Amino acid sequence: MYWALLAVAAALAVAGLVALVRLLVTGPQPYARWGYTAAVLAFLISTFQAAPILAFASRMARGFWGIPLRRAAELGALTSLVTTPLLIVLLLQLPSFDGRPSIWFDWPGGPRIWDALAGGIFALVGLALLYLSSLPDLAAARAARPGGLLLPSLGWNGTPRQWQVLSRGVIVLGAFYLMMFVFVNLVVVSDLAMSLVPNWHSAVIPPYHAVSGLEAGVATTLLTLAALRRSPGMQRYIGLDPFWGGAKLLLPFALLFFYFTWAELLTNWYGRLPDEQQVFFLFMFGPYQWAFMLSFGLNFLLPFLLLIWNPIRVSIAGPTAVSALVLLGNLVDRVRIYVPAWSVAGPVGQSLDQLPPAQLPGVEDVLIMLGAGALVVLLYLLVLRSVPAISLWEYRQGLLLSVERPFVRTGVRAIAKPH
Amino acid sequence: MQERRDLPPPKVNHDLLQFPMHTPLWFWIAAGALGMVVAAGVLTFGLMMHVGLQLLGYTNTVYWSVLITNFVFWVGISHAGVMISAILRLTQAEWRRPVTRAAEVLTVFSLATAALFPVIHTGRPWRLIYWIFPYDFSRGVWPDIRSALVWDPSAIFTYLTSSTLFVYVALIPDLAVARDRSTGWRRRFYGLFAMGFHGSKRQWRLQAIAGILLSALILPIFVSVHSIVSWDFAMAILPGWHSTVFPPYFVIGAVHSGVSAVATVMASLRRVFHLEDYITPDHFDALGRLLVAVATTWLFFFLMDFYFGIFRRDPTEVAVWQLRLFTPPYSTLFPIFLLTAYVIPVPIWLFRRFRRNIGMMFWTSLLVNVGMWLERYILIVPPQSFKEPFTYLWVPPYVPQPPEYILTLAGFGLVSFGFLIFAKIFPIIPLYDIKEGQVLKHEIRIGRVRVPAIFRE
Repeated sequence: MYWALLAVAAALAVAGLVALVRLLVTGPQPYARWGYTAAVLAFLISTFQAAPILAFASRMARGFWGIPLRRAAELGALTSLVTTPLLIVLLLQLPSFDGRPSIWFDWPGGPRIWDALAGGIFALVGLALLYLSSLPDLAAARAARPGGLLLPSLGWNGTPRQWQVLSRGVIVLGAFYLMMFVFVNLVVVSDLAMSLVPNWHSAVIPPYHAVSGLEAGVATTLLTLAALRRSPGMQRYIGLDPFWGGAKLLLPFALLFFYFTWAELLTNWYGRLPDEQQVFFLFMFGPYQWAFMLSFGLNFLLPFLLLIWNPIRVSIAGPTAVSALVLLGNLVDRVRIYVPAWSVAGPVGQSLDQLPPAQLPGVEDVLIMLGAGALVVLLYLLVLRSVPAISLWEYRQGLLLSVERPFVRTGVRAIAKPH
Repeated sequence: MQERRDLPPPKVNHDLLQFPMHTPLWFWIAAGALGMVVAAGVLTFGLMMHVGLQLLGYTNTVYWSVLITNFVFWVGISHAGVMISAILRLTQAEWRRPVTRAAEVLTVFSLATAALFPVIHTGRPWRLIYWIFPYDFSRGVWPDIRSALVWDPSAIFTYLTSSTLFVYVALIPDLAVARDRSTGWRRRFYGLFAMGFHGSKRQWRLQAIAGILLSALILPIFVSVHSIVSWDFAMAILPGWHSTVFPPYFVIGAVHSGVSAVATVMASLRRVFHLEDYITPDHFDALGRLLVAVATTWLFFFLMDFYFGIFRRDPTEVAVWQLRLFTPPYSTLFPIFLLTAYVIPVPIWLFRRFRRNIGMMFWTSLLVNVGMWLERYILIVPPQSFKEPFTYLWVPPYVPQPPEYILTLAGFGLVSFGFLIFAKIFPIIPLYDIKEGQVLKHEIRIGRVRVPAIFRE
């Protein structure tokens, strides 16, 4: 099964790469051809690369429910090996920024150099976080399987000093990763979408992009966990708790998705400024109305209607199914934002009097989207040969700190909260 | 929590019912002083109604100013209750226990005070009747239900009603304890409001369910209130106000301001009522950590408002930001606002020893609210001051007048007065919550170390 998956992912990744090269050799124009590539880049950043934040949040809150999902979440950092080159490719396709609205204004090097730098730092922080949190497990794996094809464990032997560095390092790197995630979402959506559309200056879009990304990050982690759970012997370690905890997070994120969408819709609706109305119709009620409705349904309406029910929330299948909906919804949402933006990208100063019709994906677009996703899966599969799917050291820590104790006439769980 | 103190139920009852049952002299002095501040506000309001709005510093273009700033500020403070109480209750944060009631009461009094300011601002408050019942049918003048200005009172009164209910439901078990430990009129008074609570299994279950349900139901109201307040501005097409990020920016700003106010109040309560056993440095540590996250999120939204205000280089938007940043008096107020709301307190809160220093937490949280008041002032006034095309060049700049200062001070006086009176009548720290925390605390032995633990359902 493993090798079959690996082969399929590799084949799709190669096909996607070929399609991307074909697109590259024909040059940047017309810009509309790059919309779906930009959408898949934003999708991967919003989903897989958002996942490590869930590991950081559960560590910060000392949430025991999150222990089994931390490694699955942190594996999302591997996605940066796909997204960083893709971001650089897309930055090179952008039209001229002379006189174009941009968060970089007239800074030399903006947006291309600074965006690439932001993407690069984000990638490094994510990979460092994954590597650092895996060190004790890598050392354990090396001890158990000497001579195996494993990543170096940097001389880890579990001294108190090493544990101290590890426990502080994962928190500091996690906090920095969260800040970089928000910043990268800001630069990606502003430079690869907002700057391309005349008169689009809605300040709520970058936070919306980040929040919907966090929702999708939780969904990605739960889906990864559900997939890992199907591996032999993993059901003992991946129980109900992480799915239940994840569902409790998906519900408020779905509500936040609604809130941010509503904030934009209502402010523009009542503002009635002509230039804002054109942007409004391009993204919400014009040619991409289907995408807006679908995204709204999959990111908010269906998750909300399903997750308010206890039996669905307190299950494994329920949160997994909702996560699949959210992931699809995020892809549709990124298509809704990036495809229209690139379809109107052109000279500075043009107006949006004529909205272009909705653009459907071509064969190359489909291959690039599938290939990028497959490459991420391929990286996951390869790294899982070296790194355990569950963070063993945190799992052991959890066993020590959480015990069943008698309480009055029943038994409840006592959870220790060390400093 | 790390600081585990053994608090047997009789001690909890004694300590926390001491102030409601006995009246020290300082209470009368404090109540008298605060009452005088409120009375000064009432007199000023009376004078304003008699003489007219020319007592205030309004100009031809600036007429939403200090009074509306006060309104937004107090609505912001009112977000303390829900943030602390409802969210922390739903997430089972153990450190919430001694903090919840003070936060909820702060919500109620600050919201009631906030609701007064638009009434004062109208200058002719009796005319508000037309909003409630527009009986003047012949002229066909109706409130515009599509206006955020009409949504505002509905949202605020819904929030006020639900917050009051929230306080009351959590208060019932404590009222029963107070009833059982008092005599005479006090016993009748507490007995009336305790509604026959005697701690049966069914009553506790209902009380717990009501608390959880109210926590969940109040959250959308909490978000909607400040969003609607923000739409009072954002739906106007005035440059500097018309921004899609205003709703979340206002809500997170309100949480920042509200949680800081809770820290200030908790530090004051601890000192005044000698609650060292109940409000410990651990609580300030937790509040400080929460504030770092909230303040940084608020800063992000502030930067979004700023960046995307000037993003497309629209001359009018840029001019509004130039006014805020480079023109006196705003050029002086702006750095003070940024320093006090974020730059000074947040780096301090990053250090554990400062978070656990109660004096430091008191002053830094107080600073935040100085900054947040200025933030609202800078947000509201300069966009109106900007000379739109066709407005007259001789429009004088807006300068707040003494009545506006007095009314602002009276707002603080009213909230403090209400809080003090509440604390005199009811326990300001929930007795039953503290006792529950005592029952649920536990320890786990790991090797040679005993680690504090908590029972979880």
